[in-house]
Amino acid sequence: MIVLGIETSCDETAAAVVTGDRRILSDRVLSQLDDHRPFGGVVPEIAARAHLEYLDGLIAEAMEEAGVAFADLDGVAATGGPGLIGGVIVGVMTAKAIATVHDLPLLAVNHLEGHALTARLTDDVPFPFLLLLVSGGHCQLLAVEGVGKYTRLGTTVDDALGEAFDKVAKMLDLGYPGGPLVERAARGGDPARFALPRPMKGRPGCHFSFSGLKTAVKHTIAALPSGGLAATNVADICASFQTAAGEALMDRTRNAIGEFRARYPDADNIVIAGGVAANSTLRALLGELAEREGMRLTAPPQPLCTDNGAMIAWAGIERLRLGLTNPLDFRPRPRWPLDPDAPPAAFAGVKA
Amino acid sequence: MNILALDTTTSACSVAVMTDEVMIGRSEVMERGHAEALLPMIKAVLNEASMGFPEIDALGVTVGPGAFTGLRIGLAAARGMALAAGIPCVGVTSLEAIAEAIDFEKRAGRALLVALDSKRGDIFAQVFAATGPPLTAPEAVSFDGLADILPEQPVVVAGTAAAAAVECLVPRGLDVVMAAGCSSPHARDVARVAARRYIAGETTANNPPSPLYLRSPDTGAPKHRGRPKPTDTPNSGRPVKP
Repeated sequence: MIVLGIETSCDETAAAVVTGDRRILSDRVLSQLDDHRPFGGVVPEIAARAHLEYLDGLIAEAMEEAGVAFADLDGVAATGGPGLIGGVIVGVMTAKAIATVHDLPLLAVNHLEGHALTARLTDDVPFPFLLLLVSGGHCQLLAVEGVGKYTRLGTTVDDALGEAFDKVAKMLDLGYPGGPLVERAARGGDPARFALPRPMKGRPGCHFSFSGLKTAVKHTIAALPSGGLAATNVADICASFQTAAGEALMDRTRNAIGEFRARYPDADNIVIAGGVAANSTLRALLGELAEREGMRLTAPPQPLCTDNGAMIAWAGIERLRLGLTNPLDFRPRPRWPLDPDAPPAAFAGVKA
Repeated sequence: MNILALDTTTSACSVAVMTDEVMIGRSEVMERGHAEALLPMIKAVLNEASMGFPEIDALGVTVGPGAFTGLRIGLAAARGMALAAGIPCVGVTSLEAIAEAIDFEKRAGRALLVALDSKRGDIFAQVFAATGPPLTAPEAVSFDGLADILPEQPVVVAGTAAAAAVECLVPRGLDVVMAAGCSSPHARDVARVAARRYIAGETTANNPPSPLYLRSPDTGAPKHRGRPKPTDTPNSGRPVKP
């Protein structure tokens, strides 16, 4: 089984070819970082224009690198949402077009399911497993019970963690995207210099909140006694922020492990996915937590944590095996929760 | 020669197949839903023509100007089909497609103004001579500036903003009338223009058409570059060490 995967939901244009026996034949990612950097964040209209400009050429490259012709494919998968709708539409229309020309099944993949199932592509992790999904747009703890079967244990009631990293980087003039820059600046910083809050820590449940932490960083910067954004101050703020965020994340994840165990006493896999999973400090913290709790941690390699086409192709393969294909009138979805039955979290949006 | 053409740039979705003998076309008025309707409509029109992709020699698509999302829906689909079928794709502007529908006879000696509603308070416009060729380049103009791009001769107006344009120009004493029955572009006309370009060799398989937006993206440059404003007063997150 060979499937082409297309990802265009945010600021990476990506195309990949993956096989049913878990081989990635090609995996092309074109980052639009330089296009968005002057604005300190992703500009939806710029992103949509770039996806249209580059996607067909990128698919041609991915097919050539894989040594596969369109007629050899068993299906065409594309992110159908959630995400910036202008980009999602470009990917979905391109996938529909290829599927129509070669009479192939169309697989409209939930972007979050792409992240969720990556550990099955890389490590063949069996269902059910506990998933910590942390990215610039999402921050959730989910029990992954099967393809298309998710129980949301917790979500952020305000900002996603990656978003908080980006905003802290912006306040400190570090540049964009903020995650890797904050992590780098935090090295050598004093994590105890600034007393930042650990949002939600100690509370029951698994919901996150990072807005207050972000605001606390903002006020800390405004109150810097002297030297302003001198290197030591920046390092100490980043270290203090990352430590606070990490503690909050681990507290929530520990609660989720408890809830997951109550549902599935025999399951012991925990998976981290999403762009923030590339943060080695947080990865290490999660590794320690998993060990203490007797869980086995799977963290996909970094290029498969950030947005990519291989995860969409793989989720497409998993769906195709179950006959979960989509009609050509599929409507791209800006909002698409993995667990539509989850009760709304107070103050939280419904985009995912 | 067989051409498959489509248009999704305005509040209609249309598909046509043009062969040496027949023209088969469909059009539906819709404000939204082009992304859902387009591919099923393409399949239906191909079926009606008893044709599959192996028989199609080239694609034609409107590149804009029009709704940004709409023109991307059509272009992404057309470029995807061109790539998957290995056939060339010819870009046609939405203004040219409408001009194609208002032929020499319908212009009746008048210059043609094609005016499309940009949904942003102005219009996408282009002027064509009574005899056919364009007199101006496609541009976004305000209603106030519309008279400035017109030649000093009687004018017939077509397009989604035709009525509004006539309403704006007539009080200025200009000899302006509305064309009958042509508001949105139709894929039939896209196919005709695309066929001429394809025959003239104005396209290649690995040179996909680019969008014509006529407007820069809205970027909303951040204030204070996202940093705290100088006037912000701290009330939490106290430093514990100086």
